Amino acid sequence: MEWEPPTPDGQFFDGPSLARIKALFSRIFPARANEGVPGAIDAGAFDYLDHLLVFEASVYREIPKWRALYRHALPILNEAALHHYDTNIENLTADQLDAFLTALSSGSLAGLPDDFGQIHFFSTLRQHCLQGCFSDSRWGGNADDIMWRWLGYQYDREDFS
Amino acid sequence: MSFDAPDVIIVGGGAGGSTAAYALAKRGFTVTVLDKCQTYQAEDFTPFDELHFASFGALTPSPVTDPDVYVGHSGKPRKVNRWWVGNMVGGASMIWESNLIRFTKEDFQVRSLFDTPPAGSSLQDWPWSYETFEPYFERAEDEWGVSGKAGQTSSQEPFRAGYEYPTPPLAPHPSTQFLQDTFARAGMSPYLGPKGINSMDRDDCPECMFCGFCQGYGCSITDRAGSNSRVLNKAVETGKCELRENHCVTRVDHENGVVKGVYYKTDPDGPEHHMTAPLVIVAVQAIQSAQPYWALPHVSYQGCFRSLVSGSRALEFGPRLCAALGPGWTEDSLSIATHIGQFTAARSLHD
Ligand SMILES: Cc1cc2nc3c(=O)[nH]c(=O)nc-3n(C[C@H](O)[C@H](O)[C@H](O)COP(=O)(O)OP(=O)(O)OC[C@H]3O[C@@H](n4cnc5c(N)ncnc54)[C@H](O)[C@@H]3O)c2cc1C
Ligand code: SF4
Repeated sequence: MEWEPPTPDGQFFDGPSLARIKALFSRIFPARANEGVPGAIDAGAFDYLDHLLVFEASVYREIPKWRALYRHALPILNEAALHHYDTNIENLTADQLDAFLTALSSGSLAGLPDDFGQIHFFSTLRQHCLQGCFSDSRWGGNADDIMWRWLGYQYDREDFS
Repeated sequence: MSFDAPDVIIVGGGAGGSTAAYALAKRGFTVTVLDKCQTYQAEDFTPFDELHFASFGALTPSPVTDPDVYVGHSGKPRKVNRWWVGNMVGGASMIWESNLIRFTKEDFQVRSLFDTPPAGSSLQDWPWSYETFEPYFERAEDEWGVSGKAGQTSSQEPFRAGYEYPTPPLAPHPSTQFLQDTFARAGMSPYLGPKGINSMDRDDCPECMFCGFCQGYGCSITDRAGSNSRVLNKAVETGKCELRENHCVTRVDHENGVVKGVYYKTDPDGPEHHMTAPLVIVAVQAIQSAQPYWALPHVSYQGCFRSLVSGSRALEFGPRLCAALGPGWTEDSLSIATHIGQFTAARSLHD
């Protein structure tokens, strides 16, 4: 029997949290319009994560862990943004987000609890961002197969300037 | 004839078990294959999906309910995902890449290759030679439908004069010529590898469509060999072999050092059942296959594992080294060390 993809049922994040994920994803895989490369925002990668996190563990056993991780980590990360830049993650400029994510990715973002697990959280974010960009659109990301059209996978290659 | 009391019980319907089942059934033995998993059909592997099948591990046992327990240098047991096993009848042969290279002559004589064996190892030469195995390689290549070409370069293993693979090699990839030239410039003799992937229709299985979802995925059109589309199906067709799915063998039964049968469960929480046969073949992958024999008093586990993990730190764990925590359905974290060593093929691509 063909495998049945799970049907998304509801969303995980509230408005502000989703805006924060969106901001972080926008700089993890940014669009490069001058090179015709679409980005995580064009692909709706945040929608992928928003749907993924409501699935049961039967879809994938790590999902409950990821739910707990985002619930725990996102508010703390936003506190760090407030501390460093006096504003929420979603209001940071691209340069500020880049500095913020770069520090997080190397475990050197100041002001976070020691046991936060910065590198692990960054790699989870990055993994989900890329999955939301490039996976089959049946999972809720890769809107209109935009990344596949850009890559030329299943489609003729297109530029997205 | 009864499949409840067969001539042979085979534990595991994967690459090894199914090949044995077909050979024995053809010779008239009654064979019962007990497999802990269920059969997947080709369409179960569609629609193609990297997240579901690969990233989310839909085709390998869960590290939560069916883990391997790894004890590394810290000595602390850790549950790991057994990516090298498939969670369906056919096991790893359903998700492998099906590179079906023969053992080389040197593989049979690993001890003799060393002037002094590596410290801590107990390397042995096999009691058989490449030549003894050659007719069986040929037979397996026929049964498993291997595509390839004999005698391309001197780095290939020797073939009988006039021997040719059942079907020609797969169409080369655009990068093949580049790789061949580059390796040749480096003084090596690359060749197109033999694969259990159809380069043309054969035995009701079509030719490869190069879908791109190959190793780690199930083949959706059975052109890539898996035990259930190459040998297990034929074993069952003889009428002399029965496959029993969802039969998880827990241990081997023995009396006075002689194996009499097996114990198995059909429900993780249910009772153990018993089945006897004059011959029992355990084929649930190299290291796991040793696990059901633990109950046998006269087997020296240390000895049998040492040669598998020669030179590895796992030796220090003594008798508990290197036993995979099969069969599944357990949540305990037994302090068992697993360390799979590997011989790099003794023969390199060099002449
Ligand atoms: C991704 C991948 C790629 C690979 N690529 C290659 C390759 O290119 N070339 C190559 O030669 N090899 C390759 N291999 C290795 C090869 O697949 C295995 O070595 C081979 O399948 C082992 O054969 P087996 O019969 O011992 O076990 P398997 O083929 O794994 O079969 C084991 C069977 O036993 C069953 N079983 C397990 N435990 C129990 C139990 N307790 N009771 C009852 N049944 C049980 C399983 O359900 C399964 O059906 C690859 C493996 C993997 C995972
Ligand atoms: S069709 Fe070809 S490429 Fe696809 S899984 Fe089968 S053997 Fe591999």
